Amino acid sequence: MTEQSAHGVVDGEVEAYLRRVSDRLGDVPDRTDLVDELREHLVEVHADNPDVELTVVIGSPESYADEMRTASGLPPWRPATRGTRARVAAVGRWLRASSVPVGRDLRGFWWGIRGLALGLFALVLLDAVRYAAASNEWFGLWSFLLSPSRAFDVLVGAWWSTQEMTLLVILLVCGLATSVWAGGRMARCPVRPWVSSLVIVLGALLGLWFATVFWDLLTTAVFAHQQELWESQAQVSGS
Amino acid sequence: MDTSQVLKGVLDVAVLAVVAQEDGYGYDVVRRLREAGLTEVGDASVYGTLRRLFSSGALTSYVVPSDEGPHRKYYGITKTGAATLRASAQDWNRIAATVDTLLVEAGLGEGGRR
Repeated sequence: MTEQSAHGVVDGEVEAYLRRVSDRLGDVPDRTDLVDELREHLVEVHADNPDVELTVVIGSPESYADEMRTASGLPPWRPATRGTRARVAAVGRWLRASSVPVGRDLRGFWWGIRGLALGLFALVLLDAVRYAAASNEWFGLWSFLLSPSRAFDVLVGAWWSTQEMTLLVILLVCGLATSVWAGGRMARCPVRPWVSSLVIVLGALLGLWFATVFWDLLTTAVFAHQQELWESQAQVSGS
Repeated sequence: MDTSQVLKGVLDVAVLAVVAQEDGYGYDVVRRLREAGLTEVGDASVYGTLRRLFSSGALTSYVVPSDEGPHRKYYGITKTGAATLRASAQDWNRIAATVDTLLVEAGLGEGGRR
């Protein structure tokens, strides 16, 4: 490695380390001075240990910054309160906060959604195999399923025009509201695991019901796709 | 014994003592502390301590340009720092003498029976 490229690697490693330390010192007013001083330090540490990564010699940037905070008499690190990432993190903390039980209470809804997805997936899979085996047209089926953009266009276009889609949205909103309403009250309930299981089963049953509608649309689209394939093959063989 | 915990309690005195001998920059102070026997002292702890002592007025600082490497921020002790060091040294000597006496009485100090 040339001297120039070696310097480049050192600078890159030092700067990457400094960035992470700096992030952890985001609330310190004279952070710039601190980081500048640390830059000198890290360059020297690296010079003393040229073949070892900085994280091996002095630990992770986060632990380094935390140790520095403690020794400086600064309060422990907390996520920043400004910027997009900070806002997202703040929303996450708010959702998780026990004083605002929305985050905790969404778990019931989330389990219901998972149950619904599981039921949907199971039925589509079973019916897909059954349909393909009965019609002996595996190629047409899988070529459609392996074309996500086409499947998406067909299904979304069809579903938005159906009453089932409206009903699904209403049920989802009701499920969400029920989850938030009941979650906080269920937090200290001794039968809570049973209720959670019930929510999953109901979600799965709901998923099965919607899957029947879903599958009708899918099989129709598959059939149309197969027709296109046959027609194109016939044109090729005819020409 | 967890020496790192003991170090935390005496790092202020140790850093002030090192800088009182001769002005030094961060890594230089770390090296001198380690050469003196405080091998477990962490870089970040020393930097944090230097920063805190500087903020409290116990240390002053100045930058020394360097042709070979990065500019270095040197720390020197102030009158306030020197007074703090003297007071801390008295406290340390008293505590150390007390603990020494207790250890000797327990037969664990220098010249102990065990």
